[in-house]
Amino acid sequence: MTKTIDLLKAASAKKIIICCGSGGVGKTTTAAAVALEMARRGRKTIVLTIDPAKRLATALGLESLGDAPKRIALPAERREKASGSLDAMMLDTKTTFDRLIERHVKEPERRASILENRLYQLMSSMIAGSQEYMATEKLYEIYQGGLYDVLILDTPPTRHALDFLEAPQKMINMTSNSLLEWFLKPGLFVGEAGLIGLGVLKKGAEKILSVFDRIAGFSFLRELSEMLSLFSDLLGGFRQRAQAVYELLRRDFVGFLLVTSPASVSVQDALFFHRKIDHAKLPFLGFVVNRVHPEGIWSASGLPSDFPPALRAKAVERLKNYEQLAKRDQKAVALLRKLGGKGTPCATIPLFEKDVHDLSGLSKMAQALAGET
Amino acid sequence: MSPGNPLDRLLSRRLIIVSGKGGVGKTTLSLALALLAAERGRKVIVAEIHSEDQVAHILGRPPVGHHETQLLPGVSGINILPKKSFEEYVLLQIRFKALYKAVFENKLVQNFVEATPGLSDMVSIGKVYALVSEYDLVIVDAPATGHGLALLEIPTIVSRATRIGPLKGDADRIDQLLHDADRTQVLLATLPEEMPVTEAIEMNRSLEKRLDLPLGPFFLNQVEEEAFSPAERRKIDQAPDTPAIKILKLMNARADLSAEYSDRLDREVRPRPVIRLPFVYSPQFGLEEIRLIASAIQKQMEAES
Repeated sequence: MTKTIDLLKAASAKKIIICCGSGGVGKTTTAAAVALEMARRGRKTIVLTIDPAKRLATALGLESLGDAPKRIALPAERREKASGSLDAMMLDTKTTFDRLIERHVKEPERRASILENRLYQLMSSMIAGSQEYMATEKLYEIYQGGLYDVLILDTPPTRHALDFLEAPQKMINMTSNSLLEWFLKPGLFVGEAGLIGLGVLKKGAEKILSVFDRIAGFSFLRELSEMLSLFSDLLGGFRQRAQAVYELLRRDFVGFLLVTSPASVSVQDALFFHRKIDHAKLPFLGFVVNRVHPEGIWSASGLPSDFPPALRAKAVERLKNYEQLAKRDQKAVALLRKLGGKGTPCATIPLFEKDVHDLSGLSKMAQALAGET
Repeated sequence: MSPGNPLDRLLSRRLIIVSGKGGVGKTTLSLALALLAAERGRKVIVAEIHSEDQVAHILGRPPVGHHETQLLPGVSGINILPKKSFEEYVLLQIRFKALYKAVFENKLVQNFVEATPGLSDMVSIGKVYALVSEYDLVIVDAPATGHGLALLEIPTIVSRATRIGPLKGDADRIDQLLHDADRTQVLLATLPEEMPVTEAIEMNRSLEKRLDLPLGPFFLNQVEEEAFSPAERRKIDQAPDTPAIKILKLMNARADLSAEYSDRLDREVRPRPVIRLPFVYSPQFGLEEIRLIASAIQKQMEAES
């Protein structure tokens, strides 16, 4: 088999690594394993994770939500350079959002009315959109802080590839000043129709409002415009930040790592993600194929001669079952290697006897990524 | 139909929501249940929400998109797209396509609609509600994001956030449907592994406590069966480590893992039943594999009564 280039070597040249992929493929553990390996190689590392399972969170010392980084003790045995360290941080949308408001909104009364607004509560605690926004927000903040050599982001489990990248832009669109004013004072915007690119006349505007009113009821509209008006304090910051994040993610020290499982549905998703990354001109780092059945070369002659016929028959049947999956996995890996081409790393992590949810498991994954298994 | 049979009881509902984290086999389960319902003469639709058209993909069919499309005898599919659902919903209220176009094809309004928190979930579940009146049974393959909780929670939130108006009325009706155990069942799918099982247990708790939704049995997918007797296991463990023996040991370890997490799920969700579905050793998942899963469901659920 031809040796493709080393994923971890390629990762070592990056300052920001973003792990993406569909749900259930092991993004969180892969992000943590890559982080562990970067730390082991002497880099000051932080991994930002979203909603990890409890035991992994415990292993990483992240029992409680909150947005302060926690230091993780590195396993001593495989450590290369003492300069490396590993911090982990769990993103909590609601807390991050609340802090953002507290930071930007100075007057206590205004702050309280934002935090009490029902739509704000809905928006900040709901998964869709705001989690993605917060991930990029936090990423940027930590990058700016300059405390780390490398930052690894585990992305939210969106079914739609890069939704999280588009989230800031969507939020900006929603809170745009012109729309806000239009909601509050529909009469005003007529004169500015050209300016805000809305090609309808006053009558049209009233019509739109009445449509919204008929569907949602006026109280809903009022609450919405109230929230938008409260958010207007943050608008400038939001917009600038989103632009900065957009530019940051296209720098050459950023790498998008696509995590997948070898099952056909996941591979389909991975191919789709890859196209999207390519299309968005984001720097691609490589593939990680998780839970690959190690190559199943076996023969019945490898079974001891003292196996009774019944056991032998059962064993052969099991081995055949296994072979099916091993072949499927090999095909999947070959497909991704071909797609990525020679210059693209494609690392595989074997299926382990147990699934990974603690430091020693992560260490095993890291070893596999480094090709030490 | 024997009313005492748990499978028939489950399939006599109008709405089944299959929930769980990504990659746990929700789509497979949804399709298997659809086959079983169709066998019982019910007109079924499997609804994905803003997905990559997995149902059609598994059946080797072209993507169906936001169109109700018959995929198998008695089984239709749709991939509910929030944008289309929104358009349908608004048109129902205002009835003028030209007005809709003037208002909602405006870029500013579109941006707003896209970014309004919860709106896409609300119109998607609204579409599900509309389908319930057209089909005997709607099976929702819920999105993995937030484990589909947002989708189930949104009607309550909208109902609270709006005081009057058609939206409130609709939100209330959907909310009632979701909470009516005679019409609706929420099923949780998971895998016999640490993270999926832990998350399923947590989700079970939040569904019971926070949302108070009618929960059905758990479905534990991809259970790797123990193939050997204890004596046979000892023989394998004592054999020299050839590649064949190594593979058998790995498979045995995975079977142990399945048993361990299966027990844990049992203990934690008791008295809720756990239906165990076998791991299918097949390189490609298609209709044949779905049938295998369906017959495993039937066997277990009929034995249960």
